[in-house]
Amino acid sequence: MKEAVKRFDGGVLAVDHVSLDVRPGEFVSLIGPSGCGKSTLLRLMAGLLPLTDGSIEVNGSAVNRARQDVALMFQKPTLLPWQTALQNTMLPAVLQKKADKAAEEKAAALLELVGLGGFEHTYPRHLSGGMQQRVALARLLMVGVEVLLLDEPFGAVDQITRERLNLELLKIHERTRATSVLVTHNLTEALLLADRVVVMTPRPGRVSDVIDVPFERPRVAEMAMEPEFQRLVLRAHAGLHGPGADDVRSQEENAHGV
Amino acid sequence: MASKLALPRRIHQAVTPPLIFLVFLVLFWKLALWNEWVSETVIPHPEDVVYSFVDLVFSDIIWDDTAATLWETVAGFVLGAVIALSLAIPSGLWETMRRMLHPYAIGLQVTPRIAVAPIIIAWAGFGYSSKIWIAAIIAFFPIYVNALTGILTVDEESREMFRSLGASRWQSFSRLVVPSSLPIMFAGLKTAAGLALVGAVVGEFISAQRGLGVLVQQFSYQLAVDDAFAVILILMFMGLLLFALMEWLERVTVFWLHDARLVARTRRRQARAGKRAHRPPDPPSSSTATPSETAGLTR
Repeated sequence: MKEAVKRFDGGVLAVDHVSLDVRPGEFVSLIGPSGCGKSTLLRLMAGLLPLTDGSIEVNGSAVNRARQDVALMFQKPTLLPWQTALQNTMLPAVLQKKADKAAEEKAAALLELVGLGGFEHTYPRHLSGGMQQRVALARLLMVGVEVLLLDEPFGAVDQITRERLNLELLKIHERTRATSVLVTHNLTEALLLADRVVVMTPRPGRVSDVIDVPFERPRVAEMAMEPEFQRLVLRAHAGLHGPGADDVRSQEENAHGV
Repeated sequence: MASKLALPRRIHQAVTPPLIFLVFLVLFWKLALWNEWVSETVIPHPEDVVYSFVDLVFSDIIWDDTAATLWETVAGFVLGAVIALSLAIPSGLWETMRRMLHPYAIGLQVTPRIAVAPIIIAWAGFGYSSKIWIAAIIAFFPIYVNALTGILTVDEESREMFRSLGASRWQSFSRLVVPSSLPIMFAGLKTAAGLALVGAVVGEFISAQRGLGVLVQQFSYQLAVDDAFAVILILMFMGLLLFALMEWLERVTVFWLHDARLVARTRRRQARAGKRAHRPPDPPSSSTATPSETAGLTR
């Protein structure tokens, strides 16, 4: 992504000359306060919004419309309530008119992968919020994409489920090695999952810091307790609020909550 | 003795409270007549209404009128629904169309549509067609507005999801927009079914040879109030029938809002999948490949 600029109708500058290079297989977290343009940035990458200036390339070709090798996951599960977990997972295949036996088996295997074996024929209404988000994750993986764009995918589920889903996301990333970009406003989540954390400041959205996360994979939840991790949290925090900010209490809160 | 009368709890809860109210209503009704608070020529005795009702139902004449009103109502409802949907769907999809039609839809809504009934009779004559058109005009609005609202309130993230999956316009419409708007659309259809009956009866009041509206009018002019009340009872049952039909249609179509239906569907699918899995002697699925490998995800 080079010098990406997005200005909405009405003149709001949402993304201001952001340049970012994500390596294949890398996991990058975008973090910033609400309204810093991180969701916009993600939609630009997905080709759902047109760029005002600059360029975005995926796999060497410019993004100018929704494309098949990039998949986006939303904060809400956006499942179709009239379809079972299996049917929802198969949706990408159905829309590509490739809903055959093999696609069904792949969908069932993916549901198994996200820990929903046995719930293939259950409707979203009878699944918990966390389970619905897992179906959405399975649907995302069904696209068979190389780039996963995750827009606060677990923002709407409770803290405990969220931690578990994050660990599952880690496992899935380690297995599939899909290039992933995660938007979040949770520092610990960003650091726990990502190889690099991109810190953004709001209005207009700019990159203020890029933090390399040196921890080995496979990662575990316990690494959040290490001093090095805490140091990175503080650094990210400084990037979010500018160098002058030393609000100790909120730093500690961020350090302890996942 | 109580155990002899024991009904299933659900029926008991549904039936007993209204029955108690009916007893009070009839008592008060009789009291008013006995004390001559009202004249018998104005308000009939409740039992006379029942006798008239039974007489009417077993006479031949009533069925022609019932069939006439029912036909006008159903045909008017269907006609109104077809017009409303064929305008609401393009309005929901194209903003220009919506801007063009919206003021007129609102205009039609705030106009008392019954006022145009005499004009329609003048145009379409005294037969069934004029009542069908009146019923259609009255039934039109709730269907149009609800279908339009349903289409316009489709979840924005779901739309983005469809777009990001490369869905065509037609796929988004048929697989997302239509099912998503069905629940709201049915709310409009239910209202409209009742309104179509109103339209048919109003049309009959103005001018008709046949129909329950004609009967109510005739009996009222003859001061045969018990018969008039009996016809209104028939109209009420007709309304109930239409409403129940719509409720049933809604439960079948919008099954995903009804827990019991969802559970049944899940069971059926599981049973079918179970049968399929048992037929060929498949090796256990966890043979060699991990799920991600079978899914072709591992690189």
